[in-house]
Amino acid sequence: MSRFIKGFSYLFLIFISFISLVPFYLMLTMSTYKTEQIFKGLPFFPSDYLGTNISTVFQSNFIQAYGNSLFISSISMAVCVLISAGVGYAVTVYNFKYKKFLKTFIMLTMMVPTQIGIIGYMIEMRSFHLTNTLWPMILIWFANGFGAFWMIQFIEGSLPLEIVESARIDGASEPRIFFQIVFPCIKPGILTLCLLIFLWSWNSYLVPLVFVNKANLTTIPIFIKGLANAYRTDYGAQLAGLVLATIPLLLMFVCGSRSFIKGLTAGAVKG
Amino acid sequence: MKLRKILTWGLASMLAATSLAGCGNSSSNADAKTPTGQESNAGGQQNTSGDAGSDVTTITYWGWDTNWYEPMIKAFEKDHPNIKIEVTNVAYSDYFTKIQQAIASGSELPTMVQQSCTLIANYKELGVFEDLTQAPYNVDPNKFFDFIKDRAMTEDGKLIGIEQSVSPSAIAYKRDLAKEYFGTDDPNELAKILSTPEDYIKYGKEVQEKSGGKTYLFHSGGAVAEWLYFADSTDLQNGKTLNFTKKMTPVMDLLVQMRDNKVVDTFENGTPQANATYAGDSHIFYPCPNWAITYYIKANDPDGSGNWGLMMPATGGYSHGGCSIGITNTSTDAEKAAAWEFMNWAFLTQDGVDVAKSEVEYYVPTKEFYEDASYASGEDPFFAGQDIGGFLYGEIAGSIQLPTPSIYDQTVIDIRDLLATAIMSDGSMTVEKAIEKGLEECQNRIMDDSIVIE
Amino acid sequence: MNSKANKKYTVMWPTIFIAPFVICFLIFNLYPILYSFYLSFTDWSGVGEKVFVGWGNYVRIFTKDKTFIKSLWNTLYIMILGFPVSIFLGLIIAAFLSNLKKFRNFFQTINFLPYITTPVAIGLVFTFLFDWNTGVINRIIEAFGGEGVNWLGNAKFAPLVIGFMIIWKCTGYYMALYLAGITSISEDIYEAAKVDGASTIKTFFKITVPLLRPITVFIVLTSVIYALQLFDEPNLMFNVSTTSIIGGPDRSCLTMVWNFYDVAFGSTARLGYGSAIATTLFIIIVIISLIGMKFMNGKEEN
Repeated sequence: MSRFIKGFSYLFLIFISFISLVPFYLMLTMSTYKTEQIFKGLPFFPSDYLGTNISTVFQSNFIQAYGNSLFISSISMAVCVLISAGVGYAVTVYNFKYKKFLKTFIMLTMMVPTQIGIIGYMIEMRSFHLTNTLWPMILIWFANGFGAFWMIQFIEGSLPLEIVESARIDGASEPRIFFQIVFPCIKPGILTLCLLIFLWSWNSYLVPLVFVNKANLTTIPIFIKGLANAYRTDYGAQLAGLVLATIPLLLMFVCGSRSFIKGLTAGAVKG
Repeated sequence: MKLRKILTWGLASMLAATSLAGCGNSSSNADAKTPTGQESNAGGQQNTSGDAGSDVTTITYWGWDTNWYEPMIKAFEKDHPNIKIEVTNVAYSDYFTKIQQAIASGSELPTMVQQSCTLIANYKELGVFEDLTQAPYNVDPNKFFDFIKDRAMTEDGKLIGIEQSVSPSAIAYKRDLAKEYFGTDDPNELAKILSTPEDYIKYGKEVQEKSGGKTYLFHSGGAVAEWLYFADSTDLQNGKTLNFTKKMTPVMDLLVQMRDNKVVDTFENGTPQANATYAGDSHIFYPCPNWAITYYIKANDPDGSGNWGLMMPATGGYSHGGCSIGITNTSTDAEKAAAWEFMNWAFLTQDGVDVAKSEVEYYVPTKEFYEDASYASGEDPFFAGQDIGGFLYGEIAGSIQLPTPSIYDQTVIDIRDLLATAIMSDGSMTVEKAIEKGLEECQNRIMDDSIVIE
Repeated sequence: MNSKANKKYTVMWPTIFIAPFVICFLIFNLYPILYSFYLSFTDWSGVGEKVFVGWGNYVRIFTKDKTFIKSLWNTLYIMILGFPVSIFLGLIIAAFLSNLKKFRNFFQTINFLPYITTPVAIGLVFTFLFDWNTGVINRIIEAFGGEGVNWLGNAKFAPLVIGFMIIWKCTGYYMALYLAGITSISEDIYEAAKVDGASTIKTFFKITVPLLRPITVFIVLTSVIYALQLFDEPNLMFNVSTTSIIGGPDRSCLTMVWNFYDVAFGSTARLGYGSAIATTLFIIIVIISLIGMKFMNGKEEN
């Protein structure tokens, strides 16, 4: 019985993995074709057009878009994780008056659909004179309900309070405890949140769609979308660009996959 | 383990480096209101000499048609080193709302705006454009072709833009297929064979039979509907009445017949798959505005030189697309002057007009240039020596009549595309059902309750 | 005892650590929504004066605007098509994976790949797979003697494709979450079950699934919120050319957020009316979230 299940589960996993891989694989092979050729046959095997496609991509504004996306995602990730970790730390370590209220509040913020306020956000950014910069696409990530909720879960579940207390007795200041003692303890949680926020902001589409109206503000998804000039969609070049755009994410997840699952484990247990 | 560590470090340092670069970048973008030294992405060339002279005026342009603005701006900047034009490519479908958004969000409008003709009535309502009939521009609208001279003019006589090109449209065809199925590839003979819309159905059936179901006359219902719709010069809007049924019924009626007789294939207009059919051998005819020659035919069938022809449609010549270019009144005087220098060069002086002709095959609507007979006409090797210019800008442009623009033009065009797709994908969709659906869509999308939709 | 030192730990430091979040949330997340709420009572295109129209926009949403109602049903329909299957598959894959000793990391990474793929790429590849005339899926169907289906042009099939897209994309994410949950269930419980002679399947349904309930609630709740805001996938799938129809064939894939985007930033710039749609959407999401939170809290009290 158990052997049967094991065999079946391998088959099932191979099947599912195959389905997961096919579109991903096609993205890779299609990027090596000339657009006109893509529709003529089944592009299961790589062709020889990748170089041209990549040079098409690089001739346009790709490096700028890449740089912008990296800038947006890195800053969003760093600030969001820092702010979230602060909340998680405060809720775990201190006892204060409105703690219960705060926890409910944060759970509520997780439910707030940020992108729905985008009209108001646009007007607000206008009054801050930020509409011609990358900041509107960054600031919206700072207070991320999911991030804060996640860090609370994670730190509550994995930070031994004794460490904090003994550090206090040793005379360490609170910021020092937070950065030098607590941070290393919650590394998997931090890493996981980093990966997720980076991923989400990297792939973010709606907010940039509204805010990008200058070539030098463009982000990867908007840029790739625009590679189709009005009348001829350069499929091959678009896909080559996407392959290049997926590389940093791929690297991050392959490198971090172990701590990612570890981080999820500790954070998600309590839901 | 070691490899993983190296990878992580590599990635981290890459991140850090680009963040720093990005940081410097964005802050300089934010600070510099007039980024004189910036690279124009139009030609990709760096203006190194521009940095030294402080008398360089930089103006901005949003465009969707790279084919036109890249060569034009490149040539212009070469002749006018004191002006830099910075371009942002904005997708055609987003363009108008991006302009509205820029006004709403208070971000800078470009100095020059490309006004699509299907939204021209909406652009007139914005009130952000200079009146080009006034000083310092002093444009006399009578310089332009009669059928087009009022299009960008508001009711109180303000000219908000100059037409970029005349947009006469005809039907393009593949010569080898025409010979195979019609016995001739001569445009006049073909036009005689296909002289009424019904002829397309009759011969479309024959072509289907001869080819064993492989070959169609047209590739996309959307493209056919587009042609038939634009070929009809009935006004869409009369006062408060929107003549939807009157305008749409003949279009959809013919489309349904074409679908039922397999005259038209099921590609969705404008998709990459549909565009790939230009290079294929299953579709003979393509409704073809002048700009589609470079954007669609040459772009999608680069190896097809000599195999294309252009003929008179059964509906007669018509106008499809086109746009005007205007100057925003939020720009500074120096920017306005520079923008005008570009527009004057591009549309009203021989140099610019020649560049548009030789690089983009665009012909301006300014009458005086046509006094030189060789301006528009000439043999075109891509079309097997046919005189494309003479045909489009002489015969067809002379016969065009345009309906009065309405602020609902684009809305109705969107609905037309929706209906065309619905008809093509659902064999049981009748004309009545399609019109009924269209009317409902109009009700949903037109907010103004005082408009009567018929 | 020492109230000053105490205050430091009950007022000052908590405030310092929490303030950035609260301040940023108020400025960048809450204020825009409130401002949208204010705008929803006006008629404004971003140009010219705001005209106050009272409840006019809301009346229109619920009485006249069939597109809004349609987008609501579309969203719910796509949600039901995609997410239950995706969550269930995620659970099954996680269960299988947790039993594996070999290749676990390998399968895990592969199945997570779709989740990190940029939606733009997903849209492109899926239009290629499902195209009526040239798509791979139809070629395969034809190879087996069937007739190609107009997946993307037919209002009946288009939502199915979006549903499939969601399953394809999200399953890996749910798998990762469930896998994390399963890993944290103590081995002792399984040992005890084994001693009692429970079968693998029985153990799974009687022990694993109930113990994973908190994660399931979390997943269901977040995916419902995600689903109600669905925009990227359908938009990128059906907005490929200048002549593309908003919302796909017969607007069958016009989700609420796409409709919102189209009203406010797409084919029209009706910011006032768009704000009213946004506010309505906001209220719907908050109600659903509150119900969901009741579930989450309910389990804590147990």
